[in-house]
Amino acid sequence: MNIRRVRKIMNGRDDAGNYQTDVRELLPWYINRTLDASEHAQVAAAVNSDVTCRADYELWKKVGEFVGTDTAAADDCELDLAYLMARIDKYEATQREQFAVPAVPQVMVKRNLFATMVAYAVIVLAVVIAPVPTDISYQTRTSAQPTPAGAVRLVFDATLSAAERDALVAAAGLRLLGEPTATGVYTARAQVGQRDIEQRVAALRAAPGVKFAERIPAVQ
Amino acid sequence: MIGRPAVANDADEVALIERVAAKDRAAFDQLYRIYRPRLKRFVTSVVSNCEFADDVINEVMFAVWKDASRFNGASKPSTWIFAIAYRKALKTVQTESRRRTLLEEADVADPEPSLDVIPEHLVVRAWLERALKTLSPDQAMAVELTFFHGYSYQEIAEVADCSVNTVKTRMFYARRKLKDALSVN
Repeated sequence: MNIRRVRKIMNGRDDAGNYQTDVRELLPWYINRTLDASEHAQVAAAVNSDVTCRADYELWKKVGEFVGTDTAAADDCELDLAYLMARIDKYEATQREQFAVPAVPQVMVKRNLFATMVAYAVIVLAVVIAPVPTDISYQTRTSAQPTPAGAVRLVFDATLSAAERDALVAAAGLRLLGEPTATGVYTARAQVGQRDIEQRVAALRAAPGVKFAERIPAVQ
Repeated sequence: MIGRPAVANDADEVALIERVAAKDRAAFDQLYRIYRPRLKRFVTSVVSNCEFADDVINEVMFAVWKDASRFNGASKPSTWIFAIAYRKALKTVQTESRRRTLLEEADVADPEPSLDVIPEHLVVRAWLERALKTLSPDQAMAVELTFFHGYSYQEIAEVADCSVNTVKTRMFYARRKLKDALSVN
């Protein structure tokens, strides 16, 4: 290995005994104390023994003190926030319109009235005539809704605050999807990957404030 | 003061962003109030003009509302938000510099006030203020994140989406500019 390179690695100095640019360029972060221990020690040594480095340190220190001073006047943000919320309202309304199911025209409803009545009659007959199956499988009300792959259904204790609920869910590495159902069932999804999901669900189940936690298979 | 201003901790901010992703307006309100002063300083330092800061902040927080579900926790919430702010601020700088070029062709700029009329104890402050305005947006961003927000060079690289060596190089040129400005004044 080149002797200059070795010297540089050993003490951060070049042949003339001056500290390397690399060390000097760390001065801003030496001042804000975000360097690791080794870098910090190297820069400290340079500041204490090298005149150029010391001068740069003084310059950055002055800049740091100036920039670091919070000179911001009290800022009334209410108007800007109100403007932003209005913009968000408009954006959300547009989003809802884009994804809304178009209303069925009235004419179509009248035309289909007869067909609907026939359908109801068939259903009633089928219920009355059909034999009762012996193996009835029941599903929860919420299972009628499509569920994202690997989702988790959760029911919380009513005494739990929103912040406590969010903290529990976040601690399990999950994220709530939208609002709960009419029966208070939340759907959550793993934030990153599905690894250890069963353990996370088990931990949630054991947590106080969680009444129900269940992983729903992707295909039902 | 050098270092991070007092703010909510990262876990609190992650929880807030998750609630914003679920379209929770109260959480967004809270996040806005936490970040507005920090963003105002940061954006002003990059665009060098307070006049545009509010518009940029508005754009940044609107993007936070829309894209909160994309925050995956790989970085700190502040790094994610500052990265959005940096991109928006740079865009404003580009648009504004084009507009300014057109205006300057038609107008003569006012001469800058002389430092001779400023009291002695404010000379250093005035020099620094003037010198910092000579920095490019990239350099100003690095100086601001280092000395006001207390970021490490690795975190700055993450915000600017560049290498740590690029961050160090920007600071190198920033120092050179500041030094030159000092020797002139």
